[in-house]
Amino acid sequence: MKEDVAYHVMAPEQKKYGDPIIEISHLVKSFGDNHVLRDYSLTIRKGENVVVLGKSGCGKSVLIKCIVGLIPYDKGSLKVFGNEISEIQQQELDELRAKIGFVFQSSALYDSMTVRENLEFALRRHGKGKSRTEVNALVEETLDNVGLLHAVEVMPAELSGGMRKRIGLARSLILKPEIMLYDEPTTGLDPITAKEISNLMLKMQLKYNTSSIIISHDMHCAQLTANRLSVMIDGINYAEGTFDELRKMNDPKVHAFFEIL
Amino acid sequence: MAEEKKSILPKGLRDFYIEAGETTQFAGRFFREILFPPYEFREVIRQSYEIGYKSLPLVGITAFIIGLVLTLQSRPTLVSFGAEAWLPAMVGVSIIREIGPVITALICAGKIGSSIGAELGSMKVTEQIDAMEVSGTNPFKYIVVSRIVSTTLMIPVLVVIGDAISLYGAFLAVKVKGAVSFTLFFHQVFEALNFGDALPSVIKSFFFGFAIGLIGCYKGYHSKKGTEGVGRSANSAVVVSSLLIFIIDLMAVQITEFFGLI
Amino acid sequence: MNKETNHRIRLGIFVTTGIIFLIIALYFIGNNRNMFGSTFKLYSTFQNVNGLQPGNNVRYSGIDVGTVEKIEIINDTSVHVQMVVEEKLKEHIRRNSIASIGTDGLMGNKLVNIDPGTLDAPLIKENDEIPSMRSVNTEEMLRTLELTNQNIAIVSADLKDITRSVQKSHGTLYKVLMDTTLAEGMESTLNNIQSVSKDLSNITGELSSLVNSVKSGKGTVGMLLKDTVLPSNLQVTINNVKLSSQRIADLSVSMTDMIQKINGSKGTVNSLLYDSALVNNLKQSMQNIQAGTDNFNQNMEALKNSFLFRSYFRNLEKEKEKAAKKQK
Repeated sequence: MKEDVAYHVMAPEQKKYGDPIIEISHLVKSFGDNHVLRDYSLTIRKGENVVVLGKSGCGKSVLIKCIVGLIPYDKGSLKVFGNEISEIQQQELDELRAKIGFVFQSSALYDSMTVRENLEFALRRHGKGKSRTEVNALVEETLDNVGLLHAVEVMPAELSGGMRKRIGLARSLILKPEIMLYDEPTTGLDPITAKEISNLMLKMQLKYNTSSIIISHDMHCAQLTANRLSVMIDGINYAEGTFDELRKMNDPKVHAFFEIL
Repeated sequence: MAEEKKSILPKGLRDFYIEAGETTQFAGRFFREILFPPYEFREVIRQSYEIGYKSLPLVGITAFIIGLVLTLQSRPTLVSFGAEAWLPAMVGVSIIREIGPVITALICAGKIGSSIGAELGSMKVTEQIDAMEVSGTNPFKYIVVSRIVSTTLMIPVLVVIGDAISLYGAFLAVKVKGAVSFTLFFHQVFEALNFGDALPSVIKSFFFGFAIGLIGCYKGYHSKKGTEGVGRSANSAVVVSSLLIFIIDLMAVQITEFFGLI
Repeated sequence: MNKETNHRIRLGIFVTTGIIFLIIALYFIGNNRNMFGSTFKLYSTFQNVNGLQPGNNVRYSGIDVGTVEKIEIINDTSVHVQMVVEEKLKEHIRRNSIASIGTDGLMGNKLVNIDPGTLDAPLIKENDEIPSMRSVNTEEMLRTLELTNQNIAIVSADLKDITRSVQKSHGTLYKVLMDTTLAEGMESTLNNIQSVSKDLSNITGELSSLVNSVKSGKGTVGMLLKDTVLPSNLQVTINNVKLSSQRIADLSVSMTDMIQKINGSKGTVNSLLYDSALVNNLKQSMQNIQAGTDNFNQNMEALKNSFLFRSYFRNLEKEKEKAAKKQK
């Protein structure tokens, strides 16, 4: 299986982007007998949007949770801005996390807080020293970016799924992160809303100049947002390349993802 | 997620030991986390309001009824002994020593324990806890420590206020049946009480509060995925913390007896 | 923010109320234990404190004025009790005020009662010792009562045994007490004795006349009896006989008296007790009777053996036989 790793490496594409900021090599993670990540390797360069494709439950979410240190990995190396995640202290990890925006599958808005408080929450730790007006301005600016400025005092329970996604996106953008990690951003949304969200992600990527990893099995979203795709099958980086390159591949496992289009 | 091994213990017992061990570990983590900054004072106050102040109506009504009913029920027995004059003393001692703290704690285990279990369970399921961690806030400190501190501090306050309301209920019950002045009633109650009655009951309330918070948080924090897991967390939080309240109560009796306070 | 401030105010009120209630409760409890306010110490030594404990009340003329602070054993007969009493009581308690251990109600807590002393005694000062009085407590009372009860139980058990053994043994006492026929039999016996003694007196009468005739020296018998030894012996014998019969007569009188009493009484405890004395009397009487009849027998034997009366007695027997034959 090992020879299958990095099936296609797009050497010319890489030059368009900056230095690698996330380097994943031979990552292994298992929960008991369930070997989720077997030997996964991927490198993300600055300014790059990488979509990780894979079936549900194949360990895509585990991968990005490893990146922010939510789940410790068993073996291999995972470097973010050159820092090995498993070796750094909590303090440094927190500083690193401030540079990473994480959009959760379920939006993960804090139910007990208003939209404003949700957005301010991240500033508690990382935005110290900001005055009340600065915070308010930042919150409003970010909400305006996702088009939900009117919902600032609303409780999350009153929001629709699409709005929750937007708020979740706004919340992870408020610290102006360098890396965005999206966990299934379009899952559970109707196609139109899903497209809106994909466009919004792209827009934000341009506005904030972020690099992203987008976990998805939504091909429309992938088509729209990805500079590069990685197909995760059985816990390894089965295939890698641009959308069109992968589409043209003859491998039936890869082809299966494109059949629905 | 340890490797599944064949165990000589039956599954139920094994699960019990695992849970007991994990709860102890959880409590240990609480004490480690509470020692070091940052301290989430604002969250403690917010939770105290939710846990303490908002439980007051329920605790108050329950306490009032218990005081009233206990007095009315004890009365015939004492009357048949010709010891009706002892009614305030007897009711006072029972309320302060035992019924006040235990009833309040059980009510709170039902109300607060379940809400903490469900809230944390759904936070876990909807990745809010992960989101907090990613945003640089220690979720254990922010969610767990603040809640356990709040329950530990608020249950005793609820117990004291509940006791006072309960005694007032008892006073009304005595007054309905016979002429007794407010002063006489409370004089007789306090005549019968000593520090050995009042202080252990307040001290054990802190432990009741700690147990309610700890179990609620543990059950919620370790909730299984899915909505069913949330329900189960809330349910088992109530069951386990109620049971723990009685166990603590039993231990408290033995300890106070050991120190000769009975 | 406004909402949050509002919440904080409510929480503040809530917590403050709780703390105030707690402080009030502790203050009142403490007040009852004289922890606040000025007090002074007072001592007294008791022989027995009857379960007094630190924290029990001290009362002066029935008013709660303080608490017991400490109880120490000094030696095997004295217990030192330290009391904390309100300052104002310095104007009332005197050197000869007496402390005693009492109980609040029948089953209540122990307490120390201080009775006012007499006005001529000086007032007490801090750390003074006042005399104590041993008071009867319910416990002791109950204990004595119990002892009494036990004694009564033992006595009644004994009584039961006695009556049962009396019933079972069917001894003389039982018969005496229960058998009216026996009593009748006894009466008849006594009647017999009476008749015998009548006979005896007749015999003695005859004897004395005989002796008189002998004395006066009628016939050969008188001659033979002129010897002085024999008459005096005879006189003694006769006197003995007289005495015996006298005694028997007395006895029979007292016996009839007793038997009437036995018949009159019907077996209550009192009469039983009385009767046991009577039985003793009876027994003694019987012995006396025995002794009397023995003496009489001896005398009679002596008379029979005396050759002088042999023929007389033979005649007597013959007459008796005749009488028996006639009766048949």
